[in-house]
Amino acid sequence: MRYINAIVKILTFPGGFLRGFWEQLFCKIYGIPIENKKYFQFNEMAGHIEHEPVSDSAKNYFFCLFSGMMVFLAGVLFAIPAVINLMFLDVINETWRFFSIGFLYLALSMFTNLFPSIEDALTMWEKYKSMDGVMKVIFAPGALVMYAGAYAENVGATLITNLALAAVVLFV
Amino acid sequence: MDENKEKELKKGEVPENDTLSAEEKKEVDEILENLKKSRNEAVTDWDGLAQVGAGNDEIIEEDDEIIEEDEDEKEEKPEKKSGKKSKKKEEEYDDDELCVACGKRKRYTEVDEDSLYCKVCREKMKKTPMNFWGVLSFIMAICAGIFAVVCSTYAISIAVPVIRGDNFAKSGKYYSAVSSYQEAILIAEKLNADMNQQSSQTATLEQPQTFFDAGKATYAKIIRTFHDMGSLLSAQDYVTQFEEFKALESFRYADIKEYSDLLSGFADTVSFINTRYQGVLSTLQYSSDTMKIEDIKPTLDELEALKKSPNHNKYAVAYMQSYMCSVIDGTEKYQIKYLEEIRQGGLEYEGMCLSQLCMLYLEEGNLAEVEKICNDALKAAPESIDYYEYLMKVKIRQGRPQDALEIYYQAEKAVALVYYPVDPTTGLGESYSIPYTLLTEKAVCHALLGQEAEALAAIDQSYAQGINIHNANVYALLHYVYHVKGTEPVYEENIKILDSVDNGYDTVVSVFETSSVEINKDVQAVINGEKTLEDVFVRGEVYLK
Repeated sequence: MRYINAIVKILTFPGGFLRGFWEQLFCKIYGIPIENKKYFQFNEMAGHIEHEPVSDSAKNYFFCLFSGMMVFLAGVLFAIPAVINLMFLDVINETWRFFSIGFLYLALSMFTNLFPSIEDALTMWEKYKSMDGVMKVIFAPGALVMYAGAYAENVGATLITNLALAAVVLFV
Repeated sequence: MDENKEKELKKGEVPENDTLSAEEKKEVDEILENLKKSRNEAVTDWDGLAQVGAGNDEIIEEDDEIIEEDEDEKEEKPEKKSGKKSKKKEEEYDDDELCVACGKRKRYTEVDEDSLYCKVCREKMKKTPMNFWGVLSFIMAICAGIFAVVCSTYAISIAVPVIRGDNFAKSGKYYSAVSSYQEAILIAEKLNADMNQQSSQTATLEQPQTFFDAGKATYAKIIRTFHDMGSLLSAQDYVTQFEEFKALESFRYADIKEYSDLLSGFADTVSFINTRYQGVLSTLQYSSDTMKIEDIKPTLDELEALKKSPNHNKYAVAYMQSYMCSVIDGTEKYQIKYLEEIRQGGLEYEGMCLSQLCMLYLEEGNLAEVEKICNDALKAAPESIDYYEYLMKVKIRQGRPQDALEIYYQAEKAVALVYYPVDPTTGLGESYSIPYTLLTEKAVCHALLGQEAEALAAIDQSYAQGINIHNANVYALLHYVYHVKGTEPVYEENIKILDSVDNGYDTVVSVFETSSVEINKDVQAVINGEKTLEDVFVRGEVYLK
C-alpha cells in the first residue's frame, strides 16, 4: 500500500506539494511541533508532513479539516474553467482546450490529495470518539468523510474516482 | 538573598545596603553586572538599577526571561560539563518521560499531556522553516489560480447565455432558447475581436486568431432545439458547421450524428424526386399550376414501396409524400393522410406537419381538430406563435371575434416574453414583434365587431410589416369598405371614388399587377355588394388567395 500511495502522490504531485504546504502552515498556526518536513517519502506519509500527535480533539479535527479544505478550494478554482470549457461547452480551439485540460489535471491532483494521512486520521478518529454527545453529532460528517477518505486515499481509490470523473468531463 | 528580597529587587525597590551581608551584596553585584552586559546600559549603582526597574516594566519582564533562560542554561551546562551530573538527572525520570528527540530532558507535558518532546525540542520543532518546494508550489498555485480565475471569467461569460438557453428549452421556449445559444456564439466572436484588437496593438498578429468559441456543445444544443421544435431543416447550416468539427463520431453527439444522417437522407430523397421530375416540384410549389394525381401517383407508390425497405429514411419519405401532395391539385385527403401518419408516428417533423395539418383541417372545416392541435402544441411550446393564428381563425369562423381578440392578446404577451439577445458588438437589444399574420387576424376581428379605426390601424400595421396575398387582400378590402362607407355598393361608381382617393386599394392592385395576381374574388364580391364581411371571413375561404 505504501508504494501505491507514493505512486499516486508522484502522479498528482502539484496537489501533494500543496497539501504538504498547508499541513505545515497549519502546524505552525496551531503550534504543532513538526517532526519531519519532507513532503515526499516513499511510504504512507508521501504528500504529508510528520508532526507530533495533537492531544486537543478540536485542534486535531480542524487541523485535518482546514488543510484539506484549502486544497479542496484550490481544486474547485481549477475545476471551474475545466468543467465549463470541456464538459459544458466542449470548446473547439486547441489552445483553449489544452489549457482547460491542464486545469483539469491540476483540479484532479488537488482532489486526490484532500484527505489527511492515515496517522492523522486515526488520531482524529480516536479523539472524535472521545467527544461528548452534541459535539460528536456536529463533527460527525467531517470526521467520517476524513477518516474514510484517508483510507481511500492511501489505497489510491481517490485517484481512480477522480480519473473516472475526469473521463466524464472529457467524454460524456 | 532570600526570595522576598529578590522580588523586591526585581520590582526596582532599593534595599538598605547595611542590611545586606557581604555575600548577598556580591550576588546582587553579579546580577547587576549581567544586566549591564545584556542591556548595554550604564547601570552602575543601586539608584540606576532602581530607575531602570521602576521606569520600564518591559525590561523587567525581559530580565525575568533572561533569568529563566539563565536557569535553563544552568540546568543544561552541568549536563554537558559533567557526565556524572546528567546521569544523575536521567535517573530521576523513566525512559517514557524523557524527550524522544534529545533523550535528556523531561517531556513537556504541561501543555500537551501526550507530548513526546521536551520544551526546548518542541520550540525548535515549531520553528521548523517552511519546505522550499511547498512554498514554491504555493506560489505556483497562486499564479495558476489567478490564470484560472481569468479563464473562468471568459468561460462563464460564454456559458451564461447557454445556461439561459437550456432553461428556455426545458420550458418549451424554443425560439428564446435558440436566441440564447446564438448569443453565446456572438459573445465568443466579440471576445475574439477584442482580443485580436489588443494583440494587434501590443504584438504583431498578422491574421485574426480565434481564441474563444462557444464550443461544440452549444452548436449541438441549437441543432437539438431545432429538432425539438420540429424544424430540423432550419438547423441545416449548424449541422454542416458541426460536421466540420469532426465530432460526429463522439459518443456525446450520437444524436447529432443521427440528425446529420437524417438530413443527408433527406437530401437524397429530394434528389431522387427531383431527378424523376427534373425540378418540376420545386417550381410548381410557388406557381398557381398544380399537377394531377395521376402524374404523381407512380412516385407516391414508389415512396410507399420504399417505406417497406428496412433502411429507408422514414422521415424523409413521409415528409416528401406530404410535400408532393401539397402541389397536387385537390388532394387534401392525401396530404392529411401523410401528415397524420407523421403526427401519429411521433416523427421528428411533427412541428412542421402540425402547422400544415391545421391549415388543411381549417379548409376542411374540422375546427375541433385544429383547436386540439393548437392547444397541445402551445402547451408543449408556448412560443409557437403560428398556433395562435390558427386558434384566432377558429374563433373567427365560429363567429366569436371577441374570443379571437382575447387569443391575440395572449399571443402578444407570449411574443413579449420571447428572449432576444443584446448584440454584444453594439450593446443594442432587439425584440420580437408580433407577426403581421396575427395583426391581419386582429384587423378582421375588429372589422367584424364594427370597430373601424382599430381595424384600419391593425391592418395598416400588418401591411407595413410584411405582405402576403392574404393580408394584401384584407388590406385592400378594409380600406375599400371604410373609404366608400355610405356610398352605394355599385362597382363602377365605387371604382371612380377609388380612383380619386388614395385609399390603399390602388396600392394593392398595382402591387398585384406587377406579379400578375388579381384581387381575390371575394373582395370583389364585397365591392360589388354581393357579399358581406361575415360572408368572407366567417363563411368564406380561410385565406384570401
